[in-house]
Amino acid sequence: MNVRRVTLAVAAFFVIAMGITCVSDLRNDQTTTDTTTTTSLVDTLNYDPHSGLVVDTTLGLVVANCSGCHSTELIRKSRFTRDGWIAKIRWMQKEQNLWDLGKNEKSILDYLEKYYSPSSLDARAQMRREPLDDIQWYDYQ
Amino acid sequence: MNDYHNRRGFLKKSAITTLASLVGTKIMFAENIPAHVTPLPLLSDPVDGKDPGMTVLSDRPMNMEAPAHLLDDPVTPINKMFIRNNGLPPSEESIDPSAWTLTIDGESAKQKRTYTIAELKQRFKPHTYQLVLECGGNGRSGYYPPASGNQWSQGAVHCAAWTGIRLKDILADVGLKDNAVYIGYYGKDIHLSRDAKKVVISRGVPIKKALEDETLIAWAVNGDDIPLFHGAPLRLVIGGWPASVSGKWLHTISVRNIVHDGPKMGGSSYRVPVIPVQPGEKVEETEENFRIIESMPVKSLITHPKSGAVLSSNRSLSVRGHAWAGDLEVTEVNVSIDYGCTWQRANLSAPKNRLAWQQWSAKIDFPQNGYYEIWVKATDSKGVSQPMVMPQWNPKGYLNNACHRIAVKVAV
Repeated sequence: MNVRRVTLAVAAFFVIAMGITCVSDLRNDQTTTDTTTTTSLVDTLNYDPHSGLVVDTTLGLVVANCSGCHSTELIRKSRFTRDGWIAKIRWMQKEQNLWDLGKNEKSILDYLEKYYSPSSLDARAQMRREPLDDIQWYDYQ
Repeated sequence: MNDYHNRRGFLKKSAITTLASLVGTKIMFAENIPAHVTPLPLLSDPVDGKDPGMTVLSDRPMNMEAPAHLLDDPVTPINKMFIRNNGLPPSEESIDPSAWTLTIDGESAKQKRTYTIAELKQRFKPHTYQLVLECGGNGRSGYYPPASGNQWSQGAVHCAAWTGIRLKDILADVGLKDNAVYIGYYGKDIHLSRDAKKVVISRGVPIKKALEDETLIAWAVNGDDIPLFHGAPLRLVIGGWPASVSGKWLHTISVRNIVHDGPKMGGSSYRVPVIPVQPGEKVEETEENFRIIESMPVKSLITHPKSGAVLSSNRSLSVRGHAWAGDLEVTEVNVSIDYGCTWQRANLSAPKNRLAWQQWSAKIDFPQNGYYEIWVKATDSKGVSQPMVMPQWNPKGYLNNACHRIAVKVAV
């Protein structure tokens, strides 16, 4: 019993320690790589400095399959529902020679739906013109 | 092609390794990447000479716009002209103005004729016009639900001085049949998929618009050769309509006996629903449901000062900008500092020529310190004004001519 408790305690210590390490890593990541975001929608996300896309385990798949023909800006500046993204993929497959995404399609759609869907912009829909934002004040002579 | 491809056009193993190291991940389905495709990280096509203040929306295809304050010049300098490319420009090496030709063909041309650029310059009288070219999707970012396409702010517009010959002169030389309905252009741009069989974009205008004096086959802009990204060495230039009718890298104009049916003429491309639809409504892409956008709507910009001006010494401010109205002229421009409750009429200049934008200016006196927005609203010769709220939503987010505004803080 005692041996088991000690083992558990040691294990718990490692889990917590790893957790702290991960959190501090994330903080470091944020200060070093979070340079491309211009929106205030999701301040907690990290952005990949090369593609400008949200960092996630699926990012590599997205970059490999979705930046062959066009810039990742097209993804970053778009907001579609899952159905909307499916329609985009089908259109690219029909008209733009995009290959079959195979079993990766689901993961790519999960990623796009999670980070590039219109829901984050719902607040804007309440207004016919949103307030001016990102004003860079300067002395006018 | 470049060194990344083998002789059959597929990516070499070494290129895939390079790509994997650049991207930092294994390249999935590398063997499925189509022939002649160069993945993004291996390609760079910088646009030389553009103002560093330009906003790049996408670097492949290249799409960039000007923040409003960069458009202050009455004639837009080349380095501040927006770029909207649907595909990739032909390589710089492939453009030889002495070998480049323009062919006129089509069902409704009396003959097929090919001219060199030297022949065009020698045989026809050159004309120069200042012409407003505005992307049909300029302002798209304002729509909700978001529309697909480049999320333009307000700066996909320019008014430069184009020099070339009138399309009507060359069409008269070739001869038009009575059944001519439309013209369609073809350019030498490269499809994003690198599929040589695919035409990137081929649009056009009805014969009536094609035969206007201001419709040019141009080789120069602001007195210089047309730069690569703006359509070197020859471009069809048609003011007042969506800029996509002004075909770049022009090599052929077809005179059609039907409404031109090239890529980006059909479906919902550069079209809006015939009947006003609820925002977000799905509209089946049929001929009956959509109409082709022709003349662009009345619009204006505040180009000075740049948004964000803090006035610390004086409660008055001189503001200025441009106004334009597609095929029509602007007859009135007004500014407001109280969100449209009251309007102050601005001074307005006549256009340099038909289809050029007009300059407006006003002196504003602020009643007290505080935060203000300056809004500008233009009215065209038919009495139609810009909306302050968003105009009619449409599936592709075209024709946003909502009033432009800037922020000003008065802190005297």
